[in-house]
Amino acid sequence: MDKDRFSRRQFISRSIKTGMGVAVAGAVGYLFHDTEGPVSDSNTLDSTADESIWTLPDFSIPEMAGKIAVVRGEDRSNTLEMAIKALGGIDKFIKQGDTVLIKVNAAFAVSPILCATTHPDLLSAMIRICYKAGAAKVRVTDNPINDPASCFMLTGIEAATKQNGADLILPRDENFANLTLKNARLIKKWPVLKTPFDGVTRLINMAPVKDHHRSGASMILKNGYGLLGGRRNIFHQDIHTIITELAMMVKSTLVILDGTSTMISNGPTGGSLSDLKPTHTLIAGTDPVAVDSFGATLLGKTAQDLPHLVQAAAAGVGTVDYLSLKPAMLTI
Amino acid sequence: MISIPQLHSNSRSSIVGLIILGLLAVIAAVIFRQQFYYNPAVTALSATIFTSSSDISSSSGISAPVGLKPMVRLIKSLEPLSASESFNNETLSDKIDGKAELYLPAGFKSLVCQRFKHKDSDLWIELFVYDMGLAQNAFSVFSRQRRDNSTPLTITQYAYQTENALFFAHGHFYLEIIASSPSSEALQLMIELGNAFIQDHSDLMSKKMDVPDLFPSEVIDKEITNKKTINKTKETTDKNKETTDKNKEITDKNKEEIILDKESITLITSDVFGFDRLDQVYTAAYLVNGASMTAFISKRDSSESARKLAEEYAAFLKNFGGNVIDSEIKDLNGEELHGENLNLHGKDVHGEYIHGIEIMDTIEIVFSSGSYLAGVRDAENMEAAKILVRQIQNRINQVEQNQ
Repeated sequence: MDKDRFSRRQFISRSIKTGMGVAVAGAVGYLFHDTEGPVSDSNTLDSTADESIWTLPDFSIPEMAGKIAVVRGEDRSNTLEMAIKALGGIDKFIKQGDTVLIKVNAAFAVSPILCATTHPDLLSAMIRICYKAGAAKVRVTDNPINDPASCFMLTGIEAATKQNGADLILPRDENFANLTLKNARLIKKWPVLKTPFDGVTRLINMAPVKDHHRSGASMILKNGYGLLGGRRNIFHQDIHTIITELAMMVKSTLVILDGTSTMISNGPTGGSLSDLKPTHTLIAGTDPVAVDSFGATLLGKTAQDLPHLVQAAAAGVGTVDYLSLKPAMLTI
Repeated sequence: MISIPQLHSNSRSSIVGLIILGLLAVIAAVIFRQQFYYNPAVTALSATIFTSSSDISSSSGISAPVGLKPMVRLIKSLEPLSASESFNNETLSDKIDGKAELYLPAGFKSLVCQRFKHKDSDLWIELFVYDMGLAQNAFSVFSRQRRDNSTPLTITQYAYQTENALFFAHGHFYLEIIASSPSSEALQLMIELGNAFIQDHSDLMSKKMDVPDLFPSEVIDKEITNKKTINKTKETTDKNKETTDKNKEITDKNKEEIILDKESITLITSDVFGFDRLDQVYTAAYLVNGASMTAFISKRDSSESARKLAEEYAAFLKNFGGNVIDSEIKDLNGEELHGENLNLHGKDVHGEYIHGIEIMDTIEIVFSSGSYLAGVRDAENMEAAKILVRQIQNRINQVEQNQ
């Protein structure tokens, strides 16, 4: 017999050995596989947080689903009032005795003229509208990127809140609790702002339209980042997925996207007035994906340029086809 | 005595086995190398972020860069509004969020910032001092964020102002000084702050970037050569008007107008044009006979590395769906054009090839000349692209001949 040829026995023997080698290598690889993904360090701010799983309530109003209004104008107070009126009026959203939480974007300790944060004029107008509709309490909150006290003060948000009789909630360790979002890959046992939502019956999400170096844009969906605690910048590696999961997590009553002066470059911090373009547009609605999709046009982009919008639509959060919602288009 | 049969692998299976082992070793080496490239935020899971502004610099344990002196003592009308803050590459995103991605791959070392308040008004100013490690890194982040409609300043080689802010590079530092509201007084204070920093760091050379000088910036009017023809023709105009008109048409076609947007000159330090092997590339926006395009130039270590990188970049473009159009740019390899003998014969003076790629409905031409890699991209018009390439080739050749 030719000693260079395999016998059947030798072939089977070698195949088994090879297969075992592959199986062992695969097992070793599986041991190193992180099935959980990033989790918050237990030694940090959430050490006293409630470890039980909680869910953020759904504050949306089913009968007001799929509404969007776009108002062109320079004065934020006027465009806001017109937009809400076009959606059916504030009484469709706020009832007597409601406790309203306004989630602003107070990310950076910068002057309001830079439009990197929710504008205090817009916030003032919204608080007044809420109280006029009969809200019992109005709260304002965010978990900024910079020092919270500086952010709320220098952006003018603190003054706007207090001057209009609302309560400003600065994030502290005890305000957070671990949350796991169903079907999510990233938001698992992650500290999320919780206590500002206690007793809240309505949620309003207010954000400016901004360019963003990492995600392409920072608008309503990205504003959900301000509910996360911990070392959330780890999610920058998968920015579109985290924004999508935030969109799945946060179900607002009403969203207000401020494109009065849009940061079209050098976002999200900006810094120069020349980063801004006077787009004079305010978008309000109940479909945050549709609202952001329209907002993208102010940046010269489409929803397809922003993967998190497409992903959020695929997840059932809303639609990128804002025209299908027959938006009310108005000009002051 | 019974001999134990020995199993001998034949030579073919041994070779195959060795090849497989070799491939596995290469894969392991690549994985090992990639382990060193990760988002710095991944290693910063344990730090807390809820500290007040005044606590940040003390709790982080990060000291300010050596040699950075407080600004406040030099500006009498300002007083500190906040404590100074320091950030390294692990905490930079705590200050500027996603924008940290612009600085980190560009050589960022540290950021120190502080807010100052005007004593007699509500005006406040924030000063950001980025230590970028090298002057060219500072120029890179400066150029990549340059605002349109800005006003150049002369406080350093690279400086400009906008309505409410100052931006400049000095040595290996990049600075942003931002006012809470625009005014002439705010601008004056920002310039004073800027000058104070420059004086405190007068030992730093504001290094002039030499590569940007290679971008041609004058308007080239080729009709000069042909004017004689026109004049001669004009003598016979009365007798032969049609001939005059025809010659005039030729003149118009030969006119070359090359307009450089000097404010657009940018240095991209890594992942240039999406190609991870392309780094330290200067780009500039042009209008050539009305057609827009971008020129790029990069100085490499040697002519060999420049040639190889040009080939690799061309291959990268082909892999992404680009169509090779080398035949359409053969004239750039040295054939006579418009009566001129270019300094290239068959190949360029150092024997490198010029690559032409059509990709996403635009023209891209990349070449190497000596130790320079250069080219034109996003050009809508082939003839205009070739005009600019020739000018860049000439500039590089002049520089190399003078060295």
